[in-house]
Amino acid sequence: MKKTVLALLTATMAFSSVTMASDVKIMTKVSGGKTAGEHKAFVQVIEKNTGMDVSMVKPGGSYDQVVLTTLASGEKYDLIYSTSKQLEYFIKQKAIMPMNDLIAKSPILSDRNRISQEELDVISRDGKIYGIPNKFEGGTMPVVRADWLEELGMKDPATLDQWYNFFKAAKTKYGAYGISTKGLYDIQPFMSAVGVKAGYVMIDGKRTVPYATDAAAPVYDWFAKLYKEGLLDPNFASNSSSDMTKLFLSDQTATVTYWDAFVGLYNNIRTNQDPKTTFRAKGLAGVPGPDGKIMMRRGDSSIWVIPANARKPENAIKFLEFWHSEPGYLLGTLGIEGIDYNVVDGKYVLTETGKEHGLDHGAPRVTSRNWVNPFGSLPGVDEAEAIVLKHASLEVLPAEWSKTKKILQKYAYRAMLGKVTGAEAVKAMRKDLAKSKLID
Amino acid sequence: MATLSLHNVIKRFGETEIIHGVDLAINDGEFIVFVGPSGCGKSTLLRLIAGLDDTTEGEIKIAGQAVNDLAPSKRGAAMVFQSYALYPHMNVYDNIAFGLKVRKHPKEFIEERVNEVAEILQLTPLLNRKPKELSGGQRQRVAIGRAITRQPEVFLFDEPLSNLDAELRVAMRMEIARLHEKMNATMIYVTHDQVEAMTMADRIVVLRAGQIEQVGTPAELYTAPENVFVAGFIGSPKMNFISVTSKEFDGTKQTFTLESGQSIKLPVDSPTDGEKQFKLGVRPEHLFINRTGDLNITIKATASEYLGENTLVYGDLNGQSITLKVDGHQTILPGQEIAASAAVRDIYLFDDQDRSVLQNYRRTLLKDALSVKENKEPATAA
Amino acid sequence: MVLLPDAITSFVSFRKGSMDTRLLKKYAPLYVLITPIIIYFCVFIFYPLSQAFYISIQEFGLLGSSGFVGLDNYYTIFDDSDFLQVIENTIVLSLGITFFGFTLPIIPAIALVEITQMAAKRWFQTLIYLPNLFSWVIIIGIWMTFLSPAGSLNSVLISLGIIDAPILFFANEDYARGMIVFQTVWKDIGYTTVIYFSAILSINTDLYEAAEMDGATVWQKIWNITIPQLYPTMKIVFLITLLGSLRTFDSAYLMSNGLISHKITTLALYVYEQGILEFDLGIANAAGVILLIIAISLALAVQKITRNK
Repeated sequence: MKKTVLALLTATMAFSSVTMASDVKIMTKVSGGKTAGEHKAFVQVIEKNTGMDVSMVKPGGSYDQVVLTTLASGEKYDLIYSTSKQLEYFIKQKAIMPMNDLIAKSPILSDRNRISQEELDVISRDGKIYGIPNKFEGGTMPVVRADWLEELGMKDPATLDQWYNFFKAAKTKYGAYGISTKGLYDIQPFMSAVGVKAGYVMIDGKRTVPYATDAAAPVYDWFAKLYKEGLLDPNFASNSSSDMTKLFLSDQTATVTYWDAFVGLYNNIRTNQDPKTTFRAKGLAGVPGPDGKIMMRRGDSSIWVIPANARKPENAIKFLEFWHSEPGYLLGTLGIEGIDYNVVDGKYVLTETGKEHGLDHGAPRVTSRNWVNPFGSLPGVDEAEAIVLKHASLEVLPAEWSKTKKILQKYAYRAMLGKVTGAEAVKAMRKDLAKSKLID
Repeated sequence: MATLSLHNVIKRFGETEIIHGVDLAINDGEFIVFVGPSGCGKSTLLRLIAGLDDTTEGEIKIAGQAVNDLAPSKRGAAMVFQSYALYPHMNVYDNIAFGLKVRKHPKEFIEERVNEVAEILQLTPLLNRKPKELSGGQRQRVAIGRAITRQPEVFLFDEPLSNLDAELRVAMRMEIARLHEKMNATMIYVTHDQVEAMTMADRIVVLRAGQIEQVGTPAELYTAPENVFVAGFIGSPKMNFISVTSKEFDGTKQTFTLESGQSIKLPVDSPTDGEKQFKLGVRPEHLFINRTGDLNITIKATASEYLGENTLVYGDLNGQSITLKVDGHQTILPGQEIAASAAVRDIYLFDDQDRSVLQNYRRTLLKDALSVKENKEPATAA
Repeated sequence: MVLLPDAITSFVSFRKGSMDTRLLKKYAPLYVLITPIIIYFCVFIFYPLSQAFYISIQEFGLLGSSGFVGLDNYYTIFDDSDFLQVIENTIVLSLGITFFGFTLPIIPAIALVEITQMAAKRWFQTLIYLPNLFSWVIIIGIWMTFLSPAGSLNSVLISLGIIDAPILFFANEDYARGMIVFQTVWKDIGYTTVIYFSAILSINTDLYEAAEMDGATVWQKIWNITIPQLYPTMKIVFLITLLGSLRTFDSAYLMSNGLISHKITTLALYVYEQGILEFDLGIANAAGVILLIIAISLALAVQKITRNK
């Protein structure tokens, strides 16, 4: 482990040595150019718009580790891209600063039409705002082959039985899996059928984990049935998102559970491959619960935070103001004029590069509800996004969630593989959770 | 025990022929020593007999049965290796018992045999020791014991004593000889040491460059070498060779002159016309100083070695080195001129071309050549 | 090198104050030669080790130490119900990897000796050594592709009618440890084979010939000569494999998923999770120190046991 830390430290030091003496120093993950060359141009656009000398480091892999080791090494950044998952830890370690005052002074960042109160709440603790959202966060949902549904003469499935019938029909007709999913992460739309929410839920001041309650048991059994009949991609425990994407794009599964934004990407890819394709991906809502309520999940938000040791927090704000205004919106979505797109007669036209980049340079959708993407959006995305906005909510994922998740997965997978019943699984989950003091 | 015979045995490794057609017949119970300089093929020949290498051509028979196609273990031969080849992790008992265990003999039988062998070789107190806890001589005895237990038809020894110090070597030599007598087994023993060969063998097979030079009892080889090589190889220090040129023949004797101008008249069976090159051979122990004989030479001493009973004197005769074995009390200084002589009966005449012996004057003069029987004494008594 | 003990004595006597400067001068080049190694050990081994221990008794996070906590981190670890599981995983995986990793390579090593055709020998040697050159990412990638539910093996088995549903090699709690052991052994077998192969080549051929004269079969020769003659090498390989297996990380890290992670999370992986993912350096270093203690005790125990043999 020491070695890894050392390697990361040296790596970050190497980064920093090139980037001294600029007006603002930023570390970013997805927001930026897709290639080294494009990233350079990306930074130039920021510099042109903010009038600052910008240094924007975009490390390759292991982003979270690089951030942590950079901070631990005392390296000074003005702004860091992170996710809400890390927030608790940063706050506990006093590694980032509250931004209330800075935001209050900025007309752009305090404009609730640009950044909604709800989105700020996610990043706030005890009234202190610890970050600024990077983009609008969608949620995960079942993405189905709408063209298959149509061919099969079925309507959008809305109950577990209807989903089952669809999967079965798809397997019979197309020889595909009914559904491919990636662990427990994305089964929320089906858990919705029994009114169960992911993460932690506080009941009477006690921590509970709904996925470990008896209510959840029938859904695990339902998955076990899917698995037994070959309707569920058996690789679910070890799937990666690229595995799922591959299956979905090669007609090997009727459904994947993934981000709303990917509805558009899937359609875009297949259309680019074959303009006459009948392929049509569509995002669907979760299954309504006993009370008719649909519970879906929002993703962890990607956020910008200012480290406690930042030299020029005010310059970080300048960047964020740019990022949350028109030119920033264009940069985060379409990308760089001349590389990703051109404006011809007032119309935005994507270049080949731009098409490849799929309207995503870190913020495929911006937080502003007023700004309209001049290029429009990819097919199916708006509908999917509307469903997420309507039904999805954030979960409570405290620091102990990583441990809790492991326990849930262990027994949920066993149940989904049919090795134990759903009822046995949730019982075992609760026992382990209680033993490790992860529920009250 | 068994007879053993080789018929035109040839061994090639790829293109290279190592053994060039060897014929040999070995009698039942005979102790045969293969001797020769390194690279002469003596070990290869032994390995062919053992079956560790395949014979390219020819036939090997043990007890009348052709064994060419038999596995080594099926030939009824046991071998003692130069490195002893003891299994390091097994104790003495297991080392000796291994061959019997492999052949799935009953446990009681094995125990009886191992103990018997250990008794013979005085290994009984060492049976539980590992090879690394034994001295060189003890290891050698274990290696021999391992060969004995199987009661083979033929024993093969591959330079078994060369890793031992001089004293032990003498002791082991006698031990092996004693063993041979006791077991009355056919044994083939490979060595490069002619002293070992002389002292142990019933018959010696002198090999050179993959061919047999001569086969005979130690006395035969000593007294009646068939060529320059055998004459030089057997006997220590080695025989002196002096170049001579043939001169006139007087009807009974031919005159030969040395390069130093001296001459000697020798009887020959077939006289030579004109001048031709020959070699005279005379052993160091047959050259006497301060005495007049049939062959008289004057040599210049270059060095001497005092050995107690004898002194070896090294000298030079017209560029040819000459060794003399004189009485121990004689003091010869380097540079000193020495007159030495030899009697005709101690002289051999060799053809300088094919290096074969032409005249063996001991034989010529003493018609009753030495018999095998008389000369066997020193070999077994040693 | 023969001079070294003398050099050490001179150094010791110098330390004692008897100041034999003549000796010191005599061995000055030797001191110069070993200095870089001593510095290397200090900088890259002893200093980090002492740091690890130091951090393990601190509350240590992003902003460095926030105070001495004694053995609290160690108590926390042993209180963690996962940790005992982690120790179990580490030991079971280690035993598996060590046992198969030091026995199985004997087979290809012997095969290499027996193959006399040079081209075939080289080919076989290269083939068996190849996995050792791959990084773990590639190793796991290869096997995941080959053994995935839609991979070649499952496809063949299904089309032959041997199985109805694909076997989930990477998502089965019962196979998880076996898969790690299998892949590790597969990766390392070439390396160990080469070690055994060269050891076999140095065995006195007389031993085999003696056994051949005794009528031993191939198996008896392997069992009674090759294997016993390999003992010294096997001891070393055993120790290397054991210590290496305690560090099992890459394979477990890459293969891990929600279903099987509790079976294959090793101490090294636990250290990584605590240190890098959770960035709880106090806990991570405490776990690291525990790993170190286990490794040292095992190494000493193994040495003690094998020395007497």
